[in-house]
Amino acid sequence: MIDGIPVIDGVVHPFNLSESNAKGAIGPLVREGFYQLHSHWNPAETQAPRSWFQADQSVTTLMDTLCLESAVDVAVYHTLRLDSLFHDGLCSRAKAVQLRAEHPTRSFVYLGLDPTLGVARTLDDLDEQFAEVPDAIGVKFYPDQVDPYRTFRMDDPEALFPIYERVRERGLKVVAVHKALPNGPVPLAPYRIDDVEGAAMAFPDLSFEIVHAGMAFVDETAYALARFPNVFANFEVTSLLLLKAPRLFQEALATMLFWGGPTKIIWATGANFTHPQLALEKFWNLELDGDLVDRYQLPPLDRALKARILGQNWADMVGIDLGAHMASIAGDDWDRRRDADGGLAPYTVWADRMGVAHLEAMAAQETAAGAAGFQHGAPT
Amino acid sequence: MTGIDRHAVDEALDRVVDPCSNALGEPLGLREMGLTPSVDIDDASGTVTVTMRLTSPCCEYGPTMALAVEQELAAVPGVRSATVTIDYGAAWTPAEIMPNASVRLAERRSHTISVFDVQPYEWSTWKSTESLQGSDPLLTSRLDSTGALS
Repeated sequence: MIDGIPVIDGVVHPFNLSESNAKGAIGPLVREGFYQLHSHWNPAETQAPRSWFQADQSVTTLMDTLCLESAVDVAVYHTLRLDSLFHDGLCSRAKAVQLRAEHPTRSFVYLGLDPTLGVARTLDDLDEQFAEVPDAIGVKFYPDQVDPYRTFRMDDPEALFPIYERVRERGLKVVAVHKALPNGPVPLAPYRIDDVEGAAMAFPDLSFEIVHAGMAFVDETAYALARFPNVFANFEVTSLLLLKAPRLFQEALATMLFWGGPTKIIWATGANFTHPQLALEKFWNLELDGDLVDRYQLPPLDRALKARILGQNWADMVGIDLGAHMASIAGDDWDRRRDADGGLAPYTVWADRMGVAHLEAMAAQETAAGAAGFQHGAPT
Repeated sequence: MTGIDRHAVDEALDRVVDPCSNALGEPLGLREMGLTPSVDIDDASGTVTVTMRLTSPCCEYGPTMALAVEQELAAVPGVRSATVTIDYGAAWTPAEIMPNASVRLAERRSHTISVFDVQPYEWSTWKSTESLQGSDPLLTSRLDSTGALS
């Protein structure tokens, strides 16, 4: 909790960014791109060294990072199906199973689906994953795959609606879709959000979550929030604008609040894409600039509004009783360890497991890069 | 010696279209979008040097746009060399869009709002603590007046 407010990180990623996991011609480029984004978006004190980051990141280390080094109480894991870029999809089914088995009170899981495989295979895939994680709470899509390039629309009655029907039959609550940030040099159209609207209209009893909302098509996303009670904006990576371009974050936030109101935005960082704490602290201390308040006539970003964004909205979206859930984890082992340690510095846990202090590892990386004539963060 | 026509350079910059505005159906050139804050023209050497910024720090289209700008500039009479670099740290907000272009984009969005009858949230109904607590009776019992869990 941050100052007594429950925090749910709406997307977390223990990536498998090991070299052997990258696939085809584009996979290695995307693998490199992830580290470049991580190293350029985060200040040095919250960057992970390249050798740690571009590895098969563990569920245990990520959960320890979240629960001992940040104010995050509950993490939402999205199984990823970037199958054409990474052999295990980047965040595997196995990690979803492990997470639920080892951290059932501190995590929730979205199954990962690739609708470009066709309806029959996707339904079989959904059922297989559901059998592995029967308490999963949603599903996650990516809008395209490469080699060969293929895509789909969320509002396609033939290709997608049978999947939504199965999602509903299985009791899953939400369909999340990556939007706004293209995965490499691919067509942009599938990253627009208009196709989500058709799906939301046809399946009013499911929720649809636009992941990376605010990184592009901000106004269009805001209109969708206003028009459809079952469309939500997930701020994964968008939250990092607080570190890199805070005014841009404010503009996106203000636009979505103006149109969509207080109940439609979901906090997420995408950790380990970033350390989960720094952006959270920036958000907790954020006040909208006066000109934005004037333009949009918004109320102050007070504790209650931030509490909605940081946890209550996600809980309401999927029908979790947040108060009861928080009561159930109060005083658990995580709570005791966090209290005992008083909140660890960023990457303390990871450093312990790597056997080298975080800042020492960063300094060694800088030295090595300098000796090799590279700039920090450049490929080795 | 004939100098490089600045107007021709501007036109070249706007022949490369911002992908997001294009996807919205209102294609705007990079100069119109405010993505080329620095354009240096050296008539003596026939060199044009452009610094670009991106609408988002992680826009994947940056290098593609930069290459396209170099190609367009190379076709401008008098240009012998065109160099485009991307400043990934440079801030951009919608306020950087040129006024005429901003109006076009606003008109496009006004059309969307009117066609679909989009209404903003009625914030006068928002009473922050009550609204937060009202959604969840169990949570309500454990929240203080500021929204914190007791």
